[in-house]
Amino acid sequence: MNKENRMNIPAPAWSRLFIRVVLATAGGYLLVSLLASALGLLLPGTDLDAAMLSMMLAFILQPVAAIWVFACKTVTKAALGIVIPCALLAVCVLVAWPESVA
Amino acid sequence: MRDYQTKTFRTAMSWVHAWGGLLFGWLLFAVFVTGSLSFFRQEITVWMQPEIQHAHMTEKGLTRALSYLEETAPDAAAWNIRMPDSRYPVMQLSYGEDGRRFRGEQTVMDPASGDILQPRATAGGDFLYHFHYQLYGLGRSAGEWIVGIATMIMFVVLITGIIVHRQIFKDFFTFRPAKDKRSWLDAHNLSAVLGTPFFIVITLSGLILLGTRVMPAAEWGAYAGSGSSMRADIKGQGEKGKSGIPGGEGGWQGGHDGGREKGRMARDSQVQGERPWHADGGRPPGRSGLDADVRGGRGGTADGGDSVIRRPPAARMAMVDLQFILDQAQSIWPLHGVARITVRHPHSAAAEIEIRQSGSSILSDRGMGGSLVFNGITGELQQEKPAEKSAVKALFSSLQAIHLGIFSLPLARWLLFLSGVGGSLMIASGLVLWVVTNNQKKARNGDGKTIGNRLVEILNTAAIGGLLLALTAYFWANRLLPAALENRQQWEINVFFIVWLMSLLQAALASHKTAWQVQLTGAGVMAALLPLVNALTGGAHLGVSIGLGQLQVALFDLVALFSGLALLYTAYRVRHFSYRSKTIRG
Repeated sequence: MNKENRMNIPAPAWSRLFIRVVLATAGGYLLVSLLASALGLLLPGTDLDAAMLSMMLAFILQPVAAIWVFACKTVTKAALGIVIPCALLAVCVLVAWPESVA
Repeated sequence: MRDYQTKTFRTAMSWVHAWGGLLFGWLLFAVFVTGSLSFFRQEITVWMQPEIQHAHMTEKGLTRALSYLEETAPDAAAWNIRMPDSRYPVMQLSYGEDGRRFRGEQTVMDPASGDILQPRATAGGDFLYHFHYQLYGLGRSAGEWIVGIATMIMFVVLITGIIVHRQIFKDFFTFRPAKDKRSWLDAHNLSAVLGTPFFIVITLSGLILLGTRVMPAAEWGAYAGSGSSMRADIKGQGEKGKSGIPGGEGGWQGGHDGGREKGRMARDSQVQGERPWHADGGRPPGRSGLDADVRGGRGGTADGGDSVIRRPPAARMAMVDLQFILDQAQSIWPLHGVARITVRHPHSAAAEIEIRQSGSSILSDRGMGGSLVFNGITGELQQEKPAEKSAVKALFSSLQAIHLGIFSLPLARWLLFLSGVGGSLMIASGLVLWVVTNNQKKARNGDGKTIGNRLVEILNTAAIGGLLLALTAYFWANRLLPAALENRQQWEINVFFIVWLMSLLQAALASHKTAWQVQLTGAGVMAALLPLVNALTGGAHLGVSIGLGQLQVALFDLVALFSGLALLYTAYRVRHFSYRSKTIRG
């Protein structure tokens, strides 16, 4: 990037920006959905309490995920910050899911 | 506008704020405006039914309502009386065959005269309310998804806005009028900073209200392997849906019915469990047919019921004095009073009277208030069933209650309304700021307007000016369409969308400035004249409404007048707006 003039920094490639947007929206949503599922499975208390608490946490963390994606210096780092937690949470969900359903 | 760059955290967030706000601002403005009006959904419906504006409450109302029901529906399985209150001035009477569903007509009675009123069909405040979270004509699911996604973006835009805004406290006291871009930025900051706590709460709680739709994963996880569902559990704990809306969905909104289609099975089983004659096994004589119908024939119980069960005359027993029951309930709920009375199985041994409170100060009850069940013959108070509440549920319910504004003190509703107006101003000024910044930059760089910029200008005008114009046209249509017009409420809605579409067309054809002026002036004139229209088309004009204590009608008129003048002033300022200053914040 051109560091001399802040106002005239060339736009990053559209593809990279597009990836960020997808990561922040779809990726962020997938992340908090997996988190909500995992928390719903693991939290103690009644089903209703677990569902409500995990839902509220999901909504609160959604903007955090989006901000992470846009705040990272590189797209790779942004992507890893979404993909790795997604993978871990997916494993959690698969392990904790009751066998009667799965 | 600005290119995305990660040079600093703030510039990156600024990009997210600007683009997220722009692309969803148009929709969010409509959601905020109609949502703010929804805090006065009932009051708006009253304004849109001038036939009921002259009614006012007296002590005799209840006796009149009861004798009407005795005469009209002596054999009904249940009677439902919705009491008048400061938000909705008439009694609504209905009766049904199976004690649960009242799909038939609501009879509207003036409590003072006992006259049966024939209010015009109107889409009323309900249209605005449903529009603000389901939009229109897209179906429930699609509409809620679109609004849900926009709300999630709103949350991101809010948080990034706070991050971008480094001088949050200083700007609280900063407003520099008539300085072009600087002023728009100040207006945007001022409305945003003042309302930030409200916006965060209203956004989060809006998401929670749409939660089972837009975040189903929470339910999947928590309810994996259990046969139940979140909605059924919420209902099952004795919590009610959004009831208490007169002239609403047309259904019975009694104690066990939230007026909602979904979760009916869960609700039905709950209703049956609470029926006293199931619990003690004693059945009233001569009622086995109905009982069997209620108990087993759910599949075949059509709305409205096709089999009228007539009781032998011998089974008619004298009922307890309803006023006595009402007085008891009033003394238990001195602040909020009684919203609704349901008499089940009148004049039989199983007669019971359910009284519902009109509201509650307890947010974790979702402000819904409780209910009391009395024996219909002896007047004895039967047991109350307090719902169990966990801390999580209390927090969840409280957030929903705040969003719905159903705790009954008017001051709180006014604060919510004003915050909603502030939010609308924040979104509108943000959208305008986008165009102003862009045009200044273009002018400075000597660039011409691009198609994208022109598109933003057109959509800005149509989304802000056009929506306001369409809203005022909606209220005018309510009064100008003939009261007996067939499919009347649909035509009110049609007018709303036709005018909105015309605004888009006009914004595309006229110059940016002319379009703004025409639409703001039109909306301003029409809004300011609404009190006059009300007076001339059979409504209670300001003199009458204040005299009758019908403050909801008077305040509608006054708010319309004030908004109209504010819009006219804005139109006047647009006329004299020019890009004088070339300085922008570096």
